[in-house]
Amino acid sequence: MSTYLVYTAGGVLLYALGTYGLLARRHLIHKVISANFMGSGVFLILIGLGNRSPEGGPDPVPQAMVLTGIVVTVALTALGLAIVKRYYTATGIDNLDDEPSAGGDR
Amino acid sequence: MTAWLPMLIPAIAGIATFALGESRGRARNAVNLAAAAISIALVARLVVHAYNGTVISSTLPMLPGLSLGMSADLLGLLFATVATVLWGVTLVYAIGYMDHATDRARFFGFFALCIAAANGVALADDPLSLFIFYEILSLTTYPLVVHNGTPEALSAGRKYLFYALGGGAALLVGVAWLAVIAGQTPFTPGGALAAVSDRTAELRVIFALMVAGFGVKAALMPLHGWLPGAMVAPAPVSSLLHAVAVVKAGVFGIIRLVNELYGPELATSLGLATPLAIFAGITIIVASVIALRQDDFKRRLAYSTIAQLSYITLGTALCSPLAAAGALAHLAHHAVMKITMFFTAGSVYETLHVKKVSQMPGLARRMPLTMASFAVAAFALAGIPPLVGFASKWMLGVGAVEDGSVWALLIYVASGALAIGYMVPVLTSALRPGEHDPATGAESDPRMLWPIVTVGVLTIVLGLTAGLPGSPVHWAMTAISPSFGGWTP
Amino acid sequence: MNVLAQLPGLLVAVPLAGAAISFVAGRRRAPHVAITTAFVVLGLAVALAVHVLDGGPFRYHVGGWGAPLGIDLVADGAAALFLVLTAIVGLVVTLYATAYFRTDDETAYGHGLFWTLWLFMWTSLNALFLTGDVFNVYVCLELVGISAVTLVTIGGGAEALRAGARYLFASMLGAMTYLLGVALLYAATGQLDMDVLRTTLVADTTAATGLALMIAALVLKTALVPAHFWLPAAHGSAPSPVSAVLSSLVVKGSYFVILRLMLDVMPAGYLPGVDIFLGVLGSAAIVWGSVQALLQTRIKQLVAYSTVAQIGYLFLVFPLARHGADVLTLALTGVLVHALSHGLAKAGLFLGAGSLMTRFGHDRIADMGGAVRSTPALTFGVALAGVTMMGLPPSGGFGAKWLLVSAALASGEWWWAVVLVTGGLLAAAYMFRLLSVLLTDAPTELHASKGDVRTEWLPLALALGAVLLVLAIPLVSNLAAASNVLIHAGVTP
Repeated sequence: MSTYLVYTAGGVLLYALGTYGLLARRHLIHKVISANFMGSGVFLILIGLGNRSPEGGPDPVPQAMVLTGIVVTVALTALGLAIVKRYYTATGIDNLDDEPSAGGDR
Repeated sequence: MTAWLPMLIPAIAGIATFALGESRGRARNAVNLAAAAISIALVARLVVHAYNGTVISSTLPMLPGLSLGMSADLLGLLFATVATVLWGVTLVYAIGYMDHATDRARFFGFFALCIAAANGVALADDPLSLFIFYEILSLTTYPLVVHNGTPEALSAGRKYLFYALGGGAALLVGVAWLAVIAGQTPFTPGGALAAVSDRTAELRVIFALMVAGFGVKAALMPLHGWLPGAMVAPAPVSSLLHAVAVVKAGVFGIIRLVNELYGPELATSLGLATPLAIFAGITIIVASVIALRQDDFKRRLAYSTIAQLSYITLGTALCSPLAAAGALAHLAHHAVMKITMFFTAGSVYETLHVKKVSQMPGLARRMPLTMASFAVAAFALAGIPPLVGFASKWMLGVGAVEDGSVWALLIYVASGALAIGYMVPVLTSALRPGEHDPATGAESDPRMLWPIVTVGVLTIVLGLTAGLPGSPVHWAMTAISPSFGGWTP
Repeated sequence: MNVLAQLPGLLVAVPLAGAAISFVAGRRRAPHVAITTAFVVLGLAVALAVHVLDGGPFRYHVGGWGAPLGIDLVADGAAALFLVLTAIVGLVVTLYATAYFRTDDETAYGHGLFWTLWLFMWTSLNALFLTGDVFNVYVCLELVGISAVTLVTIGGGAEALRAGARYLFASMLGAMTYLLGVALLYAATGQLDMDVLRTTLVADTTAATGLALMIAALVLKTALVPAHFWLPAAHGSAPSPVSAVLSSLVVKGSYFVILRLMLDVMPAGYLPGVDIFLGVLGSAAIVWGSVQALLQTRIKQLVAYSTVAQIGYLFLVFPLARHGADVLTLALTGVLVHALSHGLAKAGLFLGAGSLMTRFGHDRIADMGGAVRSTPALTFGVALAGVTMMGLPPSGGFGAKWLLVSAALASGEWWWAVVLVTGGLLAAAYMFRLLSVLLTDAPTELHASKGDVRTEWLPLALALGAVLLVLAIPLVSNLAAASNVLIHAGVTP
């Protein structure tokens, strides 16, 4: 049970750190990485859950969730980085606070 | 199904008008005139049925536990007949009036849709159905009010919508609330709410909400602000919609509400009728006084309309059978008189660009038939016998006395005098010799002239025949009678 | 093998296959693949709705594995309604897009991929409406999110990229929070299947915290005020067919999950006060979104803020649900009708806005005078869509407003009725602000002289659908009665 608690506490900590980073950091790359922090925190909690019944074997469901979650997060991260790169190339801006000078879209 | 047709035929004509487009003018006129002729024949048939005691009705399930219903009873048919017959007359006039105008497909399309909505209001069998057509009427009138697309028209349209949608919102809550406590409540002469009559507090609020909703179109002060501005619309719109269909939908709603939803008895015992009568009485006097001072011809007529509508509201609110019948008869009579006047206003504007009473000198000689028709209608409005306005006003006055409301009689008498006060200056101005010499040209386009003469003659004929079966007076008494336990005069 | 029982699987598999084929088919043939797929999916969705009406809700075991080990798809009346809505809007948007992207610059970034991404998003949306498993909801939400963000940025302009980035970060925040909620819920219950959770959920702080986190995350994805900050930019700067789908369908996906969690999975009062809180936020959304819409000077921003407002109505069902089965039935039918009518009308409005922008060459409302002359069908379509937004009869929006107002009055909490009526009047204010410009008699300088028949008439078709929906309310209320929410609440049709 204590192992589970450590994983959970660590996971929540990572999640909170990530949330803070996603909301507070200006730089877009920082935001993408912060989102990955959040994900890792949740995965940590889920991995910890795999061992919550001491008498039985490991629970496979949380592991399946973590694997799926990792795949999804990788895809999101890739998409995020691609958008950030294109945005930077187009405008030279690396954050969301500054307005781009002229919108060229419809 | 037959009960739906007076609503459906104009609606189909409206859609067909849009489909035909701007360029096919002849086909458009043919479709609209044919639809009007068919509707008139159909309504006439329904009237014969209703007079023989067969009320044709039909329902369609719509919302959970509630259905949409149409019922061709005498009360509704009176309004439907007025709207349909005058639609036919106005069409001829409008075809002449809009001869050189643009966007005619849009104009005639929405025009027909408005009539469809007015007929829907007339024949609606329950508060929900009435509400639905009442709102459709607001929406389909908006494009007509802003038809010219000028900033003035758009601003009038905005004001109209503000009032109409605000009133509609109050009406929606009232109707929905009633449905929650009483379920489906088809209009029943004498009242449909006997089963829930002990819920007095809720019923009072619902009545107030509904009066606020109908009061907007009935131009009950202080809800009248939209009407004078909405007169910027083309004259046929002012004539038919703001003297006949739209405003009458409001007073007709009040008639249904008092006589066939609450019933005169419940409306009186809940103490709802008297406040309504007081509002109407104040409106009559205030609007008549304002009308005295209007130089703009259409605005003068608009304030006269506001006053005359409250005649109907006051008559209904008195909850006495003769006054109620007089109110219903006045609904038809006022439509005929006021449409004559608005046609005149449109003709003199379209032919000579006269907008103000002070610009009228010479008009009587330049356009004698037009102004003669106007004079007949003006005297009728003031209640001079044997013209059409006299019969209904007499019923309203006697009804007020029978009810013991002498103050109401005094209001009717005073407003009759005021009506002379705001109508006669128009005539004297037109009779003075002036710039509009007959040598400079003749009457207006015959397509505008003859509809005016027709409705002008109608004000005389209906006045002379008021005592005969089938006249609006007889019709109104027959239609009102069941609401007062089979009353006969 | 009973084909009808396979419908839930087919509704996911067919658009997925379409997406794959459209990618391989190339830019020229991709539109044909998309149109074919859209027709087939519409047929499947209608068949599913008919099947549910006949035999009630049913489950589909993906890969033959049942819950709790496998993943179940659940087809009930409410899901069928959302699937049919998605299919109708999807078909019209697909047809519209064939005209919209053709007139566009062929070399513009990504347009060849539009079809694949759009069909992929459709797949994910269908899966989201059908899934009966809280973890699978996470996966579906992310698939919708990835395709939606990509579609927003498909034009490649700076503003779209910025909006897309903002949307993506909101999406990530929501996804991770939702997953944290799922983790806590699983820690407390060991279950992921909604139906099993419904029958086994007991009072427990961890489970309640998990569910609260999940709902908070879904509220962010649904863009309920005050979590709406990402929506106007994303919906306003995407290409118009994409805006239409985002506003009309995508926000409904996460909403539908909230609906099921709040009214089906959790027993009444499991998260005390949350139902009223959501109702209050919904009311705030109606007022705030409408006021913002009134202040916008660009047409798509106006329409996007209108979505913020219209989403608010959907949340009024939660406080009303506390007042017994009759009020719940009225309110649930009301929000379902609202979801449908808003879905159709809002898609029509966005497509109409797109066509107006193509015709005028800009998006400034003030300079769109005279549209009624040059594009009457389009103007009429925008006006009709406005009628349903305002909730005026005869329209689906009126049906929704009537049902919700009745529910509010029947519950005794009349103040929700005041919110509903005020919302309708505010909608009238912002819609007529647009319409009064379109109806002016101003001489028009058109950028594109002649519109395509699809871009002129398809917005009108959607708006007409939203209006005619009022006639289909008995059908919607039958499907609502076949929804798990009402069946589990003990309402017998």
